[in-house]
Amino acid sequence: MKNLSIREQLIENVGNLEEKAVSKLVLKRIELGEDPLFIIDDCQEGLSLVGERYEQGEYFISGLIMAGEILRQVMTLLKPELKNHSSIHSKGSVLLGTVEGDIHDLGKSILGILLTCRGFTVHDLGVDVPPAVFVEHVEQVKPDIVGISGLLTVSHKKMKETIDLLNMKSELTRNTPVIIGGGQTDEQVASMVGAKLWCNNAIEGVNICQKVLS
Amino acid sequence: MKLTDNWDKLSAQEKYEVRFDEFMNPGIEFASQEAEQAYKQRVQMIKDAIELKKPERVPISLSVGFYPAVYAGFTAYDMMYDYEKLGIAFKKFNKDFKPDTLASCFTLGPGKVFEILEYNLYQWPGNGTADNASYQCVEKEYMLDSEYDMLINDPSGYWMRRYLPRTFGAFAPWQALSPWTDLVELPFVGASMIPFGLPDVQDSFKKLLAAGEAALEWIGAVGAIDGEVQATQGMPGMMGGFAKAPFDTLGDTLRGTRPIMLDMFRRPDKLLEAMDKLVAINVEMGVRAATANHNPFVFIPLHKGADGFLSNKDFAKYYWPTLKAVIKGLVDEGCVPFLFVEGAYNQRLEFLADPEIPEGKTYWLFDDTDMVEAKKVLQGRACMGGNVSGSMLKAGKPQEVEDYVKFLMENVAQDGGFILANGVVIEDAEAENLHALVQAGLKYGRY
Repeated sequence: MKNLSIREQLIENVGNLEEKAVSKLVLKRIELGEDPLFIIDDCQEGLSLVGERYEQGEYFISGLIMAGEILRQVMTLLKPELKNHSSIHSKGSVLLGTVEGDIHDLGKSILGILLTCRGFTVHDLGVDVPPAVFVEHVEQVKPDIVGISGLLTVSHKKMKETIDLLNMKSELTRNTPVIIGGGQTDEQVASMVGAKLWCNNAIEGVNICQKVLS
Repeated sequence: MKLTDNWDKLSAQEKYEVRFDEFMNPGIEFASQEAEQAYKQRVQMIKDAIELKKPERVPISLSVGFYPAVYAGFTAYDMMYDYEKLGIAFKKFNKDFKPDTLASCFTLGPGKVFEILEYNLYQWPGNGTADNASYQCVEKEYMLDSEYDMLINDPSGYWMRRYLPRTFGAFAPWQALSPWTDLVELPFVGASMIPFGLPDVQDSFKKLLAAGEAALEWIGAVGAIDGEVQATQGMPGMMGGFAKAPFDTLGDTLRGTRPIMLDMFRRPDKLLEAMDKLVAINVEMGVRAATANHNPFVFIPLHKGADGFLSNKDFAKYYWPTLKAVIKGLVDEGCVPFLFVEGAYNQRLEFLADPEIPEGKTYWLFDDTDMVEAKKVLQGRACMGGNVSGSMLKAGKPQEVEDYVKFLMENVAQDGGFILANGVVIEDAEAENLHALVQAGLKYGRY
């Protein structure tokens, strides 16, 4: 029962964004010799509470950023314990990046955190990512979905270039679903750059990724 | 600098009238009587809109970034380095599209100055971004979480010895400088001067002098370009000065988005104290430029308080009180805060109805906010404008643009207090869509 109570506490504290309490609980469970994958599972459950609260309008970007920070701290604590574990259960993988010439990070990072909350593995290429680098990583990582982000209207050209190159390079890159996103993205932009999937907020992005993989 | 000898004795309303009087009579040598008449007519339309009246016609204002370069066949790089091309592009844009307010080339900035100073807060064409791309901010934690007290105790000193050395390579040696407040008595003056003798500090000041020369060259060119457009086309500018919401000063410039969001959880009292400190600094910055430029409008781009970033409860605690203090401080000095709501404020509209903000003294430009809902809140309170979207202007058709402008005129502009404007700053668009915006404004904008 005691163990269950610690689990519940961890889930609840992750959900409530109590970073200090989460660190304490994780350390305590490490001391108790628990399997780090169980600890991660519970954090994941707490993160899905965060995701739900975000979608319900209870939490905002500030909360997601705190959730991302809590997750980062938990992973730092668990890293030495995870050496002997090769795989963590994932609902799918998404490769994210902001197109070349655009260094806007926030929308993409928020999508990354929300996807993590929903159990996806996220590979974030960062910002200012040239089309060839997207292609190269799609071939290496073999993600289930590629997310191409760009806030600027001038980024639309680079989105198109990236999608064109993905379509040309190989069967793998051509067949990996692409979603574009950004504050200025809409149906017209998607059709202009040749993307079938688009979003202009992170919740839609997560929903689309979930649909693609369902 | 004071606009009248009795300035301190004037009420906010009297100061406002003095500023608009200066705005209406700018001392420009107009090229023709028509240009002068057009200028005055436009200032009057803008003034009427700000005062929530029905102007002769809805004023049309376009906020453009590098689009004039695209339109004239130049690159963004050209705009920041080649003032001849800058002039060709902006004169052409203003002449061809004829908005009611000047599309000024001022905000694109001088690449040469940034290069000399080794400015690393931004990447710009020729220095990190492609020649045809706009400049972009490189957000980092330039102010550390442990430095709140330093900022609070001495903002200018903090800027000089911490923030500037991190954001300008040329100012890196300034970390070694002593605060100017050390210079109180003879025995300490000598010691304070020692760092100024160090070779890297001396080198830094040489760069500063070179940047000053380059800035004078740039402002000479910019002044001539904008001046010629104003003199020939009769277009008033709408950017007399510049200020920020204190939350954005910290969130955009000093701490960065992620750190400031974490600060709300980890050190809320320090964050609030620092923002209080930044109110007077922002008001003074805006008022000073508005006075020098004889233009009442103080532009305030709003960023990290947009929908989605914070809950309304956090907005009420962290964002709004000091923004409101900046707005009130500017209005008290007779200025017109020109608030550009980037993103959307659909969750925040109730705040804009704050009874402490004087009626008819502010202008809210919206990017992605629901205009009809915003109008319900701002009706009888504040002038508003926007939100013809960047994607419509780029990927839409002229008819769509015309229909949307008609919708705005019928559903938002109908009682006055409205300026027709685009939302997000235009970096790229189809010329025919921009023409459609202006033409539809002229067609449907008469009262």
